[in-house]
Amino acid sequence: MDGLFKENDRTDNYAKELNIKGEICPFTFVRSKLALEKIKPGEILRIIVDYEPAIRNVPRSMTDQGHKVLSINKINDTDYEIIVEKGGKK
Amino acid sequence: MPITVRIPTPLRTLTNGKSEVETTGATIIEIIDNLENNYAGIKERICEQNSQIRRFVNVYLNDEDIRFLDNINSSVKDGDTISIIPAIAGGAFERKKFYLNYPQEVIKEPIIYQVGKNFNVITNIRSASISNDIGIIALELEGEPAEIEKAVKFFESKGITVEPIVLDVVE
Amino acid sequence: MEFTEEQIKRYARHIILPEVGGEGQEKLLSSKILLIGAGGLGAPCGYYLGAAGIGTLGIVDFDIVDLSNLQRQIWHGTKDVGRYKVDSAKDSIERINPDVKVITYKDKIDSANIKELIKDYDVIVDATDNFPARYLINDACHFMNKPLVYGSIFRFEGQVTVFLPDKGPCYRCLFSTPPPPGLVPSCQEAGVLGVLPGVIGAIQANEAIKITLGVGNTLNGRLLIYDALDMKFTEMKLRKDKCCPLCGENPNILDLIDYEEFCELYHHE
Repeated sequence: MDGLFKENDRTDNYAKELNIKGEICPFTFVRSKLALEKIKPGEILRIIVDYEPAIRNVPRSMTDQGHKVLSINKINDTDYEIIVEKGGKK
Repeated sequence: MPITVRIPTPLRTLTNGKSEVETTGATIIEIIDNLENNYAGIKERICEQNSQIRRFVNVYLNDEDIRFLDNINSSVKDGDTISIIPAIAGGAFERKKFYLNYPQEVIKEPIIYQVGKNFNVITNIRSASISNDIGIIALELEGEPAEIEKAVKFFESKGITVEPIVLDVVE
Repeated sequence: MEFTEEQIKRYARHIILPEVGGEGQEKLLSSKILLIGAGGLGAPCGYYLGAAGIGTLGIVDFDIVDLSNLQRQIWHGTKDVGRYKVDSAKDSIERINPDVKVITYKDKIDSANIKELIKDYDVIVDATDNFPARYLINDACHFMNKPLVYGSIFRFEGQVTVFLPDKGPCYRCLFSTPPPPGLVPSCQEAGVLGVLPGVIGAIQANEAIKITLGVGNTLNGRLLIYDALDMKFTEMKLRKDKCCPLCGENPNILDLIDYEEFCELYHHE
């Protein structure tokens, strides 16, 4: 665990965490979407990627498909986190 | 503006290959009669003797089946499109040629006649050599593959050797 | 179910689609589709169903691959001539997608076996080439309440639709009886452009997949007509016929009509 979260982000807020470092597009989105399908609407997924274009592509696709991107942060020299709230009826 | 009639593939032999023809008429039946005047033989492909549409053909006025309108009396206005939609089953008929080698005891039997009568195949003798003791016939069978297969089985049941002609030696 | 690494890659382009997703792909992988006919329509249809990851694909055909089939029946190769079509088809699908369980039936369908053949399947695809088979499949699907994806071709023209028992018309609502042979185009007139069944068979696969996923609008209630020469798609309304002998208000077809008897019946009509 990197421990570089913003003040108000606590790991126990996440229903699921997905580490897909080493994965490239479109599989970053494919895996993120599959992970989202396993949680309930309103729950939060934390995705960790190291493929830079993914921090634009994944959030855009997530938004297109009705999910809410809460934040995108660089967490160290190589890695990023994308925090997504699952859309749909709660 | 005239009325357009879309001709399905099976009927295009009657319209010189045309897929669409233009005609006039106030009702479906008038249009079919007008078509018949220009393309003889088309009416009997669409209608029964009493002019009602055959059960394996549907006629559409624009995108509506005329059975759910006024049938053959449905009124048609300029600019309408009429489509004739026949039932099609697909598949390709096959034409296969075989050498039939008759054993002596069945040479005089009208077996080819029986095949044509009992199975839905067209028989066509392409060459034959028949004497009192040998009978070799090159026969073409045309029809659905399953019917051809049945015909072949029937020949074999009579003791005839059936050999497909692989190379087109008989054309 | 959990996807394997290979499945995530294989089905990525399905999973990305909002209408499919992982859940839709799971539905496909657990679905059972029966393809009747492994010829011109069956080949493209079966190929796409297999590639899509239909879990169980049944294929019915008693016929053997002939050289004259290869112009359009694209899942058979030159080396398959003389083999059963279903064996060749099974090899082709397994080459594309090992996820698919292919069950082959070297049977000629008739009134005695059709119900047994279709009973375990979710969707039935009619990819046959003759009227007796088409009426038999339609009637059996009506009695067994199975969605039926219908496709038919002739020379340059194709027809395709979906029949959903209780939710729309059936084949007999469209054509209550088959044509007598004299009015079926003569053999010399027959023949088919090789690409035509490719187009129609692919549409059949599309509809079967949509029925399985429960997405989009199927061709239920619409007859799509494709003219490959004019390159035109036309759509006609298909309505339930209250006089339909099978699914109308006073049906007189109460059980399957025996295949052979039925042939005779229409030969003599």
